[in-house]
Amino acid sequence: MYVFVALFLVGVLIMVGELAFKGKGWAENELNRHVYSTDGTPSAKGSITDRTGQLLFSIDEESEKSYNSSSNIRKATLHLIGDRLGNISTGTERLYAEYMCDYSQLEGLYAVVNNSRGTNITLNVCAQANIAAMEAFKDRGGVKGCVLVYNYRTGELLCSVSMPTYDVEDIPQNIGSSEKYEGVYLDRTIKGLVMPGSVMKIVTGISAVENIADIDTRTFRCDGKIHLDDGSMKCVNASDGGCGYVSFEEAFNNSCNVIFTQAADEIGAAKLTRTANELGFNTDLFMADLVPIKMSRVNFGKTHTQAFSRASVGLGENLLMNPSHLLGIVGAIANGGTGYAPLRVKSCIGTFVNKSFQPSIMVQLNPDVCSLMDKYLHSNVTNVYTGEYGIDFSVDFAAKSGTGALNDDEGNNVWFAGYSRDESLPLAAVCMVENIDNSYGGGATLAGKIVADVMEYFDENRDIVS
Amino acid sequence: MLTLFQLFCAAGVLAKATEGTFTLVIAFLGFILIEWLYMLLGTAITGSDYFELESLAFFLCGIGLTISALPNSSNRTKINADGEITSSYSANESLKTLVFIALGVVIYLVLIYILRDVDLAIKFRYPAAIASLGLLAMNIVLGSGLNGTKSWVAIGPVSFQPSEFVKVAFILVGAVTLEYLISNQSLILYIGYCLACIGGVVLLKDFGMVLIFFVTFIVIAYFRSGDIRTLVFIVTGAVLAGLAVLYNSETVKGRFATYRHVMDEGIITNGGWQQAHAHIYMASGGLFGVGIGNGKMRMQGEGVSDCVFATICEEMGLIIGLSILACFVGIMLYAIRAAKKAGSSFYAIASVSAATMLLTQLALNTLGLTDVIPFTGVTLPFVSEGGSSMLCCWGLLAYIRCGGTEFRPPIPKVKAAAYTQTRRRMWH
Repeated sequence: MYVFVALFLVGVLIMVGELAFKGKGWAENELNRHVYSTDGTPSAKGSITDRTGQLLFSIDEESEKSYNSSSNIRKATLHLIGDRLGNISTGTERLYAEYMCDYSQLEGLYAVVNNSRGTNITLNVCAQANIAAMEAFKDRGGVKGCVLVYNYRTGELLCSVSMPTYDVEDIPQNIGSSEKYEGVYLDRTIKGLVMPGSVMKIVTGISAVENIADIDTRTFRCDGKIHLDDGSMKCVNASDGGCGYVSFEEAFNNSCNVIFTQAADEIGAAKLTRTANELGFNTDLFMADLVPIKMSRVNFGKTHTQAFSRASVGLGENLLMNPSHLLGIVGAIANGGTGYAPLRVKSCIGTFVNKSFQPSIMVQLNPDVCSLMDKYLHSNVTNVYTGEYGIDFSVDFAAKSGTGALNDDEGNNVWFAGYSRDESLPLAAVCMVENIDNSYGGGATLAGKIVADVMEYFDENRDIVS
Repeated sequence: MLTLFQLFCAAGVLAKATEGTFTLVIAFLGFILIEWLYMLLGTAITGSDYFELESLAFFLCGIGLTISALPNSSNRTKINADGEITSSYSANESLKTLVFIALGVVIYLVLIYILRDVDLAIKFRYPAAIASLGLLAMNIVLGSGLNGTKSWVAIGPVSFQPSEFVKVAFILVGAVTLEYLISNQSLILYIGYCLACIGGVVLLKDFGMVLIFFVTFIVIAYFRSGDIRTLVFIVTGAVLAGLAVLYNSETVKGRFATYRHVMDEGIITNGGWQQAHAHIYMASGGLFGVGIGNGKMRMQGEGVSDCVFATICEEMGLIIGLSILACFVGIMLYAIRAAKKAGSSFYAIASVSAATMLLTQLALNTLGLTDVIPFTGVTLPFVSEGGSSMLCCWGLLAYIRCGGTEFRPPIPKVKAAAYTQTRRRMWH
C-alpha cells in the first residue's frame, strides 16, 4: 500500500517538475487567452515605444490595441510593430509576445491577468528617421524595397522601413488586389531575398583580398569581354572597349564584370563558396534575438562557367541577397571585422520582465581584409558616386552600388550599401529598390540618393545616434 | 482555520460575481453551517472526537463549491446559432452543490451507523450486490454521455451516474466476502459479481472507471495473498483487465496516441485540446493563482468536472492544488494506519479499499490531465461538480472512518488459526 502511495508521489513530482521546467513555454502558447486573442495576436497589456520614447503601439486593460496618432508614423513603423490581424508575422508585437506575457515562475501570469503596468518594449529604431527614409524612398520613385540604417559599433538598428506600406488605421480597400500592395505584409528588411547586382562584388572582393596575395598591387586587363567555358561575360564599359589596364581598386570603381570574373576564376569556386559561407550565405535563418533574418544564398557552380561568373558579379538565378545580411557585411568592414546583426529591440521592461538585449555577431572578417575593402569602397564614393554622379554624402562615406537586371518587363533591382567613416556617426546603411524602371537609373543614382538623403537626416540629428 | 479559508474563498467569489450574490452568500454560509453542525453533533454517531477525515473532506468540498459557483463551461449563459439564449447562468447551481454536500454527509453518517455493526453490514451484502448490478444494467440500457461513453442516466430533469453508487456497493460486497471467504462457493459468487461489475463498466466504455474498479479489486484480493483462492483472484483480475483493454482498443489507442505529445502542434487540436489547455493554464497560475474567477480554464469543456484540477491550479495556485493531493495521501495513510488496528478484517479491507479507490481516481484525474499518465477522464473526488460523485465519495469516506474507529469487534465465524493467518497475511 505504501508502494502505491510512493508511486503516486513520484507521479506528482514528475508533474511539478514539468511545470517548473516547461511552464514558461506552456504559458506563452498561442492558445493562452490571457496573453493572445483568438486571431493569434497578443492581447496582454503592454506598449512599444521607439528609442526617443515615442509611443508607437499599446494594448490596454481591455485588450484594445491602439497605434500612434500620426498616420506617417503608423505607415513608417508598420512592419516593425505588426498589424491588427497578425498578417505581418514578423512584427515586434508577435515576435516579442513572450515578453509581453510578463511571466513569472512564482506568480504565473498574475501580473497580466490583474492588469499591472504591462510590459513596455523599447525599440532601437527612431520613428522620425523611419519617416525620413520612407519619404526619401517615395520621393525618389521607389515602390517596393527597403531602407536600413544601423550603428555598426553597437548593432542598434536605427532605421528600418519596408515598402510598400499602409496605414493600419485606414486599410486600403484594394490592399489584396492592387499590384501597388504586392507583398505588403512582407518585411523586406529581414525576409527580402532578391538579386543583388554588383553589391555582390563586395563578397567577391573580400574573397579576392583573402585569397590573392598581390590583389592590391596587380594590374588587370579588361578588353570588354571574357570568354568562359559555356559563354562570355561583358564589361559595363564594353562599348568603349573595356576598362583597359587597371588596378583592382579601379575595377571596383568601374564595377568591372570582366576583372571580377578573372579574380573569381583565380580564386576558384570552392574558395569563393567558402568565403560566402563564412559570411553567412546558405544558412537558412539567423535569429538576431527573436527576429528571423532570412540569410542570402548563392550557388557558384563550376569555375569559369557563365553561371559562376554571373554569381560572382551579382547576377543570375543562383544568387539571392538579403538586405539585413548585407548590412551586417558592410558593418563588419566598417567595424574592423565584427559585423553585428541589426538589433531591433533595446529592452523589455515589465513587472517581472526586465531584459536588455545585446547585439549578436553575424559576420566576422579579418581586420586586414576590412582595411583594404574600406579603401576600395571609399574610393567608389570619392571617384564615382560623388566624383562622377554628384551624389553628396554629408559625411565621409564608403559604399558599393548594384543593379540586378531582371527580365525585360520586371525592370531592375537596385542596391546601395555603405557606411559612414565618421567616428562620431558610425552608421551603415543599405537601400534596396525592387522592380524599378530602367529610366530611373542604376543603384547609385536611385538607391544611392536615398541613402544620401537618410544619412543627411542622421547627420542633422546626431542626438538620435547617441 | 478551515472556516477562515472558506470565508476567504467566499469573498473571492463574491468579489467576482455579477449576479446572484445573495444566493452565493446563502450557499457558502450554509456550507459553513453544515461543517459546524457536523463538528458539534457528529460525535454522537461516529463515536469519535477527532474530525481529521471530515475536515479534509470539507476542505475539498469547499474548494469545489468555490470553483463551481461562478460561471463556467457547464453553467454559463449559452447562445445558439440564431442568437437565442438557450440557458442562463444561475447562482442556484451553488445551492445544488450545497444540497449534495449535505446529502453526502447524511449518507456518510447513515453508512457509519450501519457499518458499526458488522453483522448488520453483512446483511446488506446481497441487497447491495443486486442493487448495484441493477443500476449498472439500467446504466447500460439508458445511459448516454460524451465520446461514446454511457456514464449518465437522465430521469426527467435529474441526471446521475449509477456507476458511482456501484463503487460503494463493490467495496461492501468485497470486504464482507473476504471476511467469510471459506468456501469455493463464496469465491465463485464474488468473482461472478466482480466480472459483472467490471464487465458492466466496460460496456459503458468508461475506461477510467474500469481502472478504478480493477485496482480496487487487486487491493481487495491482496489481503488474501498466499493461498489458491488469491491466485485465482489475481488471474481473474488480469483477464478482466486484458478484456477491458481489448474491448476499448480504439479508445485506448486514441489516448496513447496523444500521451506525452499533448503540446505538439497537430495533437493540440486533435485529441489533446483539454490537456493542452490544462498545461497552459496550470502554468499561468503559478504558485498562488491568478485569482478566483479570473481563470480561462473554467470555460473549457469539463472545466469544473474532469479538468477542475487545472482550473484550481490556475485560479488558486499550485500550492492549493498540491494541498488537495496531500489531502488524499493523508486519507490513504490514515486508512493504512487505522486498518492495522481495525476491529476486524472487514473494516481493514473496506477502509484501505475505499482509500485506494479514492487515490486511484485522484491519480487518474490529476496525473492523466497533466499527461504524466494517459488521460482517462474521471472526476476529482469531493471537488468536481457532480452530485453522484459527491455522494459516492462521502460513502467511501464512511468505510475509511470505520476502519479507524474502535467499534465492537465481531465474533469471527472462522477457525481461530485461519483468522490469525488472514490477519498476518494482510500486512506482508
